[in-house]
Amino acid sequence: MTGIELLLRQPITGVLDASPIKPRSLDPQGIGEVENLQVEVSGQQVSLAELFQVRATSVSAWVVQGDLPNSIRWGCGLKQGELIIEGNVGNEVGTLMQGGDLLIRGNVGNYLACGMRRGQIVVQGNAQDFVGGAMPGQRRGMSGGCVIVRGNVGDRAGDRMRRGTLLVGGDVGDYCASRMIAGTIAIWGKVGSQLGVMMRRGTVWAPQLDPNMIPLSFSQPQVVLLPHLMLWYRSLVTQDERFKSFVHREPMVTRWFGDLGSQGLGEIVSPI
Amino acid sequence: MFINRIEIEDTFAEAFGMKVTRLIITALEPHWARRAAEAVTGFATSVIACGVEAAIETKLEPSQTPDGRPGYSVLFFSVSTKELEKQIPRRIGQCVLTCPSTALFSGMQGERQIGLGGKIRYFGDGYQLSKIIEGKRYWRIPVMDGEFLCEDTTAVCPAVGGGNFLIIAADQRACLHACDMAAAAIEPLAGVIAPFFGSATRSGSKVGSKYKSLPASTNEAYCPSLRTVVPSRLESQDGAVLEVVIDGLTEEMVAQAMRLGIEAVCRLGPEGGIRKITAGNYGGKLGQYHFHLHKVLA
Repeated sequence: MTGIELLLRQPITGVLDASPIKPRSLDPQGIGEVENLQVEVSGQQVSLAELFQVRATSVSAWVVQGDLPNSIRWGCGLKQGELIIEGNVGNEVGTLMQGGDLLIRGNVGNYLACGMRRGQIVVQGNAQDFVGGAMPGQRRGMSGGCVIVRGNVGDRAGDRMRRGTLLVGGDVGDYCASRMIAGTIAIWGKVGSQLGVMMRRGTVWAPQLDPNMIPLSFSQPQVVLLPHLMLWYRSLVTQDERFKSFVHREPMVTRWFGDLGSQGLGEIVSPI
Repeated sequence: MFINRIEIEDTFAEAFGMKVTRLIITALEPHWARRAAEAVTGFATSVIACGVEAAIETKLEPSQTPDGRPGYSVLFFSVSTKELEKQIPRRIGQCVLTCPSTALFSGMQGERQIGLGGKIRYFGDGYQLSKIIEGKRYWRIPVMDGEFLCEDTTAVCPAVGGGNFLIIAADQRACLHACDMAAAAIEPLAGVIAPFFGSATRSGSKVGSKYKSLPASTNEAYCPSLRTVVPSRLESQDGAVLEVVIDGLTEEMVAQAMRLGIEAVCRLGPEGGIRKITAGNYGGKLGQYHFHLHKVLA
């Protein structure tokens, strides 16, 4: 199997739809096939070779070199393989992903991982609004997989999220976990206002939680022991070393149940 | 064949194909995990009337369990996946869910899955929650000491049940001591259980009965008290017979357990009251696995 490196020739004028760029197994003769791959820039079809210098590499991943803030839909519908982007990218990254790994070393725009089903996305920088939410027009957000954002995320993270895990290394904006159906969101930093509003089920885990950010429609806080967190902490140690400090602790948390105006089985927990 | 002057009869133990699953029970304290493990494997000596044959397989250190707490692994054998599916939820619902601080996990991997937490989650009466962690679903059932955590399903795999050997001794005391020796030799082995208490049963059975409703009845050929009135397999000095029964994940595991058990008994020698080792079979027509004692001990 041969990997590919795409080196940006010059900054792109217009918006690049990167959804056709998906890693797959290639023999050495497959380079030409990649060079001729048609992508859209502001609605115009161009070959990949016009935008990027394409090189074969010995690693299996496809690596994109360059800053691409005006590119969208990287890894959209990705099913397998590993795609690494060494820079900033725009909106709709990793939407509808069904497998594989996506690593973005810069920042990403809105709608990261919307409608994602399987696979893993790691963003080394920040992400904007609606991380793990629903695709426009859809009723349910991400339904599986794992999204890790090392930096901060914007508003409405996990909106209508159905299943899967979202780990945020930094802060989250307002309305995080709003209308959440199920799944787990871990937030290491601060949370914005209206956390979990209209949440039905699912878990928000936040060690730096400010109780003032929890809507009044949640229950009173209660200290409880949650055994499943032992498994959860252990499973996440490889993703974030900070979980290591929780592995050998008794999994006691302060918990708020809610949103009592909806199904009311969601939980916001803060480890003690 | 003789081992330490004990005759090993040239016969075979007849064993059957079974289905098995392994469960891991953990608790805050080891003795609470032990209590749950003993309860869930109680009344599970024989599939004839218990539905399953079950026992504790081994004690687990916190580093060996999914949640880092002390625990026990238990093995359940049954004649079919359907029967396991019927018996397991009933047992865990009454014996593990009820035991304070416990959690329950599957200890076996395989394609064929049966319900575990998925079957007893309704005890939560709508307050039960599920979490998927590393691709496995767990149920969190609210109970009076917090939450009972239980994996959704467990795998079922093919196994071998009914490996056995019979210890013929001069008297009951010698026979009991021999069983203790056999049990101690078999206990450390992974993947096998001896489902009867202390590894042995005194009510070794034959298939059928003069009473139509009974599927099995006493094996009179090995009953010392009937020696003079039935075609007996015992000699005049044989005072007691006990049968060690072994179920295992594989044929090799059962054979190894039989070998270690027989060797432990034979170490007692004739001076320990041991007279002969033989095995139980049904003429070779019922079970697909034949453990020839001479081959097992070769």
